[in-house]
Amino acid sequence: MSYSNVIVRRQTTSSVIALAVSVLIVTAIPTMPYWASNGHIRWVIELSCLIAIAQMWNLLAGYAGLVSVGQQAFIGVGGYVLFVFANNMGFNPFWTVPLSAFAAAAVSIPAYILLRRLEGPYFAIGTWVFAEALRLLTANISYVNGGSGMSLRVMAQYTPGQRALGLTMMSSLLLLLTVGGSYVLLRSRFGLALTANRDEPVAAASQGVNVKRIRLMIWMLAAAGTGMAGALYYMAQLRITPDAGFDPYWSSICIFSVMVGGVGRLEGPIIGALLYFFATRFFGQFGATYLVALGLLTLVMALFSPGGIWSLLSRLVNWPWFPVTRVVVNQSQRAGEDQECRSGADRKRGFGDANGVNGTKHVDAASIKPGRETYQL
Amino acid sequence: MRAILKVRNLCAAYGDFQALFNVEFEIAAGEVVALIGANGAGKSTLLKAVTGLISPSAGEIAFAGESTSRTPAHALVRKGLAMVPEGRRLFRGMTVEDNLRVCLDRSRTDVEQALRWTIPRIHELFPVLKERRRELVERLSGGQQQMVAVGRALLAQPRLLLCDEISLGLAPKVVKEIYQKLPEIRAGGTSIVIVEQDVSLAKSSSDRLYCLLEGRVTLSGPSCEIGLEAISRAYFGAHS
Repeated sequence: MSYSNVIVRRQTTSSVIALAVSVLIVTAIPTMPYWASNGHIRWVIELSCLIAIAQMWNLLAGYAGLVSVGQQAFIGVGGYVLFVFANNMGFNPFWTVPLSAFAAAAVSIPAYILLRRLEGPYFAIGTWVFAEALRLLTANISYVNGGSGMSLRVMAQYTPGQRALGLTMMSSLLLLLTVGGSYVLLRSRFGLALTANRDEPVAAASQGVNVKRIRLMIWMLAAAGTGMAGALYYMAQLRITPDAGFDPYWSSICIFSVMVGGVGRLEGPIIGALLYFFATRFFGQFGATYLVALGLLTLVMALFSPGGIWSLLSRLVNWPWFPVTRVVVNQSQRAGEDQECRSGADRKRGFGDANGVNGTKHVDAASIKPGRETYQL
Repeated sequence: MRAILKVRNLCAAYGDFQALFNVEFEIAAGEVVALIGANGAGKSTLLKAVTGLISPSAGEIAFAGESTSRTPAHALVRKGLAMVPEGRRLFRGMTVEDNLRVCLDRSRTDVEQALRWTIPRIHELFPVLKERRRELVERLSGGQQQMVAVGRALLAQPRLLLCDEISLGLAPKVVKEIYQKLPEIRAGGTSIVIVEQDVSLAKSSSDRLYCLLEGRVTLSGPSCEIGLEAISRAYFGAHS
């Protein structure tokens, strides 16, 4: 067998469909001001923010092994950077949304320096303390109006149509950067190192993976995505206060979405965020009872299906939306090998069975289309 | 022969528990050295200190003439020091091919093309990995998983390969099959350290051996010159 011309299959039929649907959604969102009601536009903006922060938390916990309960720090930083730059400094508020991502990433660096020596629950508590410190600090800075918060007065210069267009465009950009970015990242060689680091940090380090640098990069990327989501969310709200921006409830949303949706898979946080969003819409009226039900659901999933809803679904039908694996196939043997993989055991093989909480890296060859990339071994 | 690794007066501790006491250890280029000792003797700690996975509390480690006492693990891999960790520690959820690829970009670049370990060369060394390259590693047998672990380490293009109990939990036939590959690996100029519980296997597979007991070197010398009785005394601490 020659290794100079080996095909790498990277897509399945379901993933091609999912990719097409994703492109359609990301393209359709900015057109919503022309055909959707204001209420639905607000739904989409909020849902985009939820998916983004859940996806970022999934990167942290599911791939870098960093369980943070202080993600609200970056929501608040993103929101406040938007309000300060747009209100107090006269920047264009829409352009400031991506800028908030950089600001949150910059704030995440000193936080990481403080927290990097902590592991597991100590790290989690440390992130929460960091977020609380930021909340208290913000509440005592008169430049940002202290505990009273700020209103985004600058938005008054735009018509409702312009605001809706800007917000929907930012929502698309947010989804593209957080979900699309995670997809591209995890399919790269960096993603391979990231997965190795998640599964076996000691082995990864002894194979040349710079574990500390990887963790810092993921921490910064997650902060950037979360910060951008915070900026977008509070731009839509037109008002921010320290108690709202740095509310620990943001972290609860992340944890719920990822734990229930499925940790360590790109599809999981999307499902979890959708579930949370619609549950809030339809059952939010029940107040505390509804919150207890969400908590119980998280507990039940953690105990009986650590891979989340996505893992359960995958056991029924192996249709990945965003596969991040590669399957190496020799062109000349492709037909034969495909036949081999269609055999009973492989066809029955669902990744949920094999991988549990970590999800899968296997793609059933029976559902794979030939790839176009050549992998030079 | 030129020493590839020199360890002088090495001490290492886990909190208050000192695991290594003034260990002296040396490996020449192209040599196979066995490290034997009972459980808890400090063999794995010595390997972890050498590979930068733990920081020594005292002493000096020099790899290829350069002090590496404080060099992190990932940087040592680029210098040519790779390890097959105890228990294999493969990346579950990845295919055989992906497990091997993790190391590809992080290896030394100063190795001549002809001497480089490539995935096809790993497949030649362990043909079964070629057949099963698309499968998840957890579906492989223990022996095949160990082959992946050895192959993965070789793709770092090591000058020194540290193998931590590669025979652990494997059938004798599989152990023999893996050990038979050591001369082929060594032929490329790679020095090898094997940590082994099976004393006879360690003795027959190595040029020299070191025996550790409670964190101290109790015996060292050419494997062919050391008798089993001397090893037994050093291994169990029956000082006479």
